[in-house]
Amino acid sequence: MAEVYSTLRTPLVLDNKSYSDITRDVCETLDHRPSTAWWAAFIVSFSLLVIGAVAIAYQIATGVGVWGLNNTIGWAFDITNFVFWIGIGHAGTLISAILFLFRQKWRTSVNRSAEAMTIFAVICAGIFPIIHTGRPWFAFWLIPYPNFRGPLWINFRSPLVWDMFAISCYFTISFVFWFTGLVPDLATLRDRATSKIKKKIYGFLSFGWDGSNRTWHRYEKVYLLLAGLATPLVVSVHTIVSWDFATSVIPGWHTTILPPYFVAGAVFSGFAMVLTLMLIVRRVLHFESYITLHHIEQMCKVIIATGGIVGLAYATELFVAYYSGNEYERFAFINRALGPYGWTYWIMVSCNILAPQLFWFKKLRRNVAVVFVVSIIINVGMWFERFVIIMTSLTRDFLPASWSAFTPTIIDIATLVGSFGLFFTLFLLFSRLLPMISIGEVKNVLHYANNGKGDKK
Amino acid sequence: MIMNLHKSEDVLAGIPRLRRNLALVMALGAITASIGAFVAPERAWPNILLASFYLLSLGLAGVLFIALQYVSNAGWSVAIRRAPEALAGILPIASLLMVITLLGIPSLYEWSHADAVSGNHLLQAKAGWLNVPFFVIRTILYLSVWFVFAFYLRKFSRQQDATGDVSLTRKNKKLSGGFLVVIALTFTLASMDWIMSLEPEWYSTIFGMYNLSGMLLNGLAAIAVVVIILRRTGPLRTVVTDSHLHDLGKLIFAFSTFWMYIWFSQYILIWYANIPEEVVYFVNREKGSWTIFAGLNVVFNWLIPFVVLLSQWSKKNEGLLLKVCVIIMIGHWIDLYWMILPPFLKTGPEVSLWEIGPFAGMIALFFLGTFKAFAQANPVPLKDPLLVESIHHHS
Repeated sequence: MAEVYSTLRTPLVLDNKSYSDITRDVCETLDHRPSTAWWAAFIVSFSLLVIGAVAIAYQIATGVGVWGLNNTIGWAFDITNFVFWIGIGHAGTLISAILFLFRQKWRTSVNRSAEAMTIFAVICAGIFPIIHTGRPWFAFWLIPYPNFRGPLWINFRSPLVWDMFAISCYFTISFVFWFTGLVPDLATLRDRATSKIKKKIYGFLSFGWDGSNRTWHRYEKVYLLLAGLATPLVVSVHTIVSWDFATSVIPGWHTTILPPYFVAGAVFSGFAMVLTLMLIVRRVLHFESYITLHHIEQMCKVIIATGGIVGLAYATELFVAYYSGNEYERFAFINRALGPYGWTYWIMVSCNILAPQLFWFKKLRRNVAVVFVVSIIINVGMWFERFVIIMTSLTRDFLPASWSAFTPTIIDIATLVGSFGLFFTLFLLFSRLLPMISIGEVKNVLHYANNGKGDKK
Repeated sequence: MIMNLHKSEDVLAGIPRLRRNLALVMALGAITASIGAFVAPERAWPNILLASFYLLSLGLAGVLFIALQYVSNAGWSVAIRRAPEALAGILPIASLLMVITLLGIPSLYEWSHADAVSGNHLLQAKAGWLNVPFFVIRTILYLSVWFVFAFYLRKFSRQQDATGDVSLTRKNKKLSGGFLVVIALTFTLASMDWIMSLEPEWYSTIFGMYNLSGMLLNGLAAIAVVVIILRRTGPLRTVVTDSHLHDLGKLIFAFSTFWMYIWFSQYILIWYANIPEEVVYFVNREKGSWTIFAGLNVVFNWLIPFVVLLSQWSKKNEGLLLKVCVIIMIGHWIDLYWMILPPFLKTGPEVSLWEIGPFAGMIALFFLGTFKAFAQANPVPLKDPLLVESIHHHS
């Protein structure tokens, strides 16, 4: 039965595109040599990556002491960056899995790039715990297996170990999910490839996809099952990240709202990053007919919703710190807002709570420039959020004699910069090798609310 | 298709005598609660609080469901929207019960006694928030704000039946956005006020979210129960398809798991950190026969719904879905009982007249009120611009 749409619905693909237009528009960029702008962006990103690589090499050769950590503050930039990048990844899974289960058809234009972003963000995140081990060549000791070191087993009660399981699981499923979605599109690339090598490579990767009814049927079954599996997984990942802090007894860390608060914050920051990237991609590759203002609006609404949950969590924490009547709890939050690092708290509040409120207005949600600026503001704010949570509680612990301060060293900063370099380098490579929009899925929604338009073949 | 979609007084025609029996149970419940308030205030008041909060949550869940549908531009649910609107219609009577419950403050809340506060420095530190006048003002504030939103959401929806004006949908969208902000803040505070402050020294930041998840889960179950009854008795027979039940079932499955997630988040963090002033909450709730309730809570609210509703066919099976929903509604009573009663019954739960009376009366009141509210409007929002998607919905 044909689907029926209300008159209130807006089409998801504009400008009377046909099926072949979609294939051509998405694949065209892969047919040419990279543009000057691409090379410029790539050189900048790669240089940043090199800076990070040098910093990490120096840190591994010299020791973790090259970071700004001290006895009181044992966690700072490293874990902040780790949580930041893991959080960025969450939007990809939300778009690909959760919005799929919620039948949000607008996701089809952005899910491919968002999932790629997830994978790259998890790679960036994974670096930090590994280099934090100090001797990364022994990082495999985190994996439990019968060994000759005693045998020495990991502490199964430690959330840090759960993190290892959660993140490796998350990376695996995200990759499989992303790749499964890619298979029909890889077959398209195979079919239109002109060079023999390209045909071979895309042919190998598309697993002999034949586009038959039966193939599509199985593909859709697998896709649904993976979406069902990825949904609880993505929630569990940031939940376990939050447990790294919340299972402790440190005021400001130990608070029961942390799991849902972290998950919402992750999706919030991830959507901001998706918007940042997709607004650039949309402009440069002329995807305005596929990533429409309607799509941007939807993403802004998700930002309002998840940002609202984050705001609720900030408010609840403040209120309960007062309500608890516990002097340590109260002090932790007064220190957060008014202590020596108070400025970071106010950056966090203004970037994450105040700035997104602009998205209540339809006019601003449809103003690409405003959305782009706010998305960057949120990215900054969410980095600071993690910094505030991790740092301010550590600087003022239970014993005033051990109170201390943290200043990042040049190595701290270079490593952070390097992670951005890695992320953008990977994303730029992706933009040259694979279709950035899911061709098969967009074709599926071509007729959505189009009222017969776009039927030309 | 068009038949029977207009207002009818007798939505329960398919189940004769139900109305009379419900009225009887309600009356008996009210009598038990009133006697209990004088004869055994320490037992009756917590159960009256539970019943009022439960009924209020059902009404609020109705509003919350409508608001979520509006802000997400959902089409599938429009045909069944009059059911959550009917739930929202019980808010006034539920609010009245909550106001009556305020009479029980001395029996319920330790912090309301000046002598208890004077000997306890933690209670003194909280006295700015936990004092009787402010508590009463807050309660009235929460109730009136919720009522205003529920009133206008229902009003505009019904107005649309007559005018077919699309701008009413936009108005309700805006109201819904506002309501979501308001409910998040007020329900967090309200659940902390009414329930968490029963043990005034204990605190947990996730408590509001926990109650919100339970409220929504129970509300979805109640909506499904109401929809299934109305489908069986007539008014929604031609409208509700298996696809609608499938989608309701999916939401119930999802929020059951969400509730479990929030439950576990709170439990593991408090268990793991093992700070005496926090962990006492769960110690008290696992003592003696309270353990049974702790287990049943998880089994009724999550394990059974999860296992049964995992398959597609079970969500489309009307009879099975109804049974699961009834289990969830009992489960929510267990959940609230496990939260509210331990400070009053240290040794273990007791199921007596004081428990059964107010709860059974409240459930009867819920169904009577909901069906009455349902009969006040057309069974389906006839001119909603999204109705067409709901009628042709295939999950």
